[in-house]
Amino acid sequence: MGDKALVQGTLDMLVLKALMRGPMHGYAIAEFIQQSSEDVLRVEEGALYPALHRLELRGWLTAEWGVSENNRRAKYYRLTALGKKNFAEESQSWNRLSAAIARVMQTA
Amino acid sequence: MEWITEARLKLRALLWRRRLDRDLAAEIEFHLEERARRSGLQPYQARQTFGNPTLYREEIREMWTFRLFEMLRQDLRYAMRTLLKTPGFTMVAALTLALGIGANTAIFSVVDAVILRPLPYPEPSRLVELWGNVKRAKIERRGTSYPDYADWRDQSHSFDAMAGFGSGSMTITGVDEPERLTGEYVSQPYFDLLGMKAAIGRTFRPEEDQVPQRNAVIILSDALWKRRFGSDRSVLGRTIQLDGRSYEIIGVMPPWFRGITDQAEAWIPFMMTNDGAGFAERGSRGFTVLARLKHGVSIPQAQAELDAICKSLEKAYPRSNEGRGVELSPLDFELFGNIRKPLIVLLCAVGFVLLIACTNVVNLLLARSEAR
Repeated sequence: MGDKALVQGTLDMLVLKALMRGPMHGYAIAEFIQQSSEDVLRVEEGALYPALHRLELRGWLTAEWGVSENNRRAKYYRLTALGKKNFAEESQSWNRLSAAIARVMQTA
Repeated sequence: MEWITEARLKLRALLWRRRLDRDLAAEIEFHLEERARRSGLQPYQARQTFGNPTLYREEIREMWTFRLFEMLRQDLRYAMRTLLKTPGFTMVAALTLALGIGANTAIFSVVDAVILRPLPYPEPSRLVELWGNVKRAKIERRGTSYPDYADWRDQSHSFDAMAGFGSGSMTITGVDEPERLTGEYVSQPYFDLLGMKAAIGRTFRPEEDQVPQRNAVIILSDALWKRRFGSDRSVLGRTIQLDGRSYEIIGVMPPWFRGITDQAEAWIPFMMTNDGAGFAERGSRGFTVLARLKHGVSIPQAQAELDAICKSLEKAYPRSNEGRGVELSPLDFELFGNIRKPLIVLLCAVGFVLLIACTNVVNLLLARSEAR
């Protein structure tokens, strides 16, 4: 992991979030996370792959080989129905949790 | 449900082990190249932002395998190699264990058939044999005469049905060469009370088991049917010569059925064994009776009822029936009763043989490690 360590469960959630936009390969997911966090969340990029495979084994993602924009073979991940359901649950509980923490931190 | 998906994916990975490795390498390679190209980095720089590819690959690879299975495979391979290095020792150990296990399997299959499995008839616990006996110094089994059997059958209420049966050797003559075989002569209810149906044709009808004898009929065992008639289904209605009489074939029994004596190859009605005069003789005893208890009637109850009947017969026919009684005995006890105990002893004995075999192998192993 990089300087801003990401908790494992959080990385899973970010991966799911990225894939809500449609099938992507690993590199694109890493880019999406970095860019949409405006480079605050910098994980060691390799750490993404164990997370992807773990989610695949859990049946939340399926993987398929496809061709990238520049005509290279790349492995594309896609959310399954199960993955979508779990993402909805996790993002909900995450929102509750982060709002609660924010409220605590704001109290003088 | 998730573990099913996981097991399925892992199983697939197990079958495509090499593809899993190749895919993993390709996936990471693609990422590194993409990073270098897009960010204008040198390959080593791309690798720095990625972390250690080999480590991640290992981590993922481990996810995809059954850890227990992998360990087991390694252990087995190690064991195989060690055993192959000392073929002499392996042979001795394997032979020792094989003998022990073989003996156990052999005895157990007998125990299974004789003790564990019920008799292959419906509700076998209701099947009993009736033995006519006589009081001498002690009570001796003698068998039954036809009039006694008829009185037991007609006066008792504890039984669904009763059938006399006996076994004897018969000679088939005819077109083919003559052949001696063992057959059973059985009263008409015999098959019904065993719950047996013919595989082809039918079993006896009441009128076929009556004095005076009418046209004789016979039922064949599957083995006899195959041997003598080449499994010809049109055998029904044909006539064969048995002990100089003609019998019409009316049925063939299923392959496993060999009668209560377990060696019968043909069945003829009980009444075919004698003429009317012989059946009237109360003192000529010599066959056994098979019976099915009524639902809910216990053996002691049936025994008590038969005892009372025998008492009254004794009074009515003192000359032939003095001291004559009857003994009820469960069919499965009659068939297996006296080999059960020796069998269990034998099973224990071979169990110990296996134990000793194991000890020997362990000793061999110990001696070997000592030598090392």
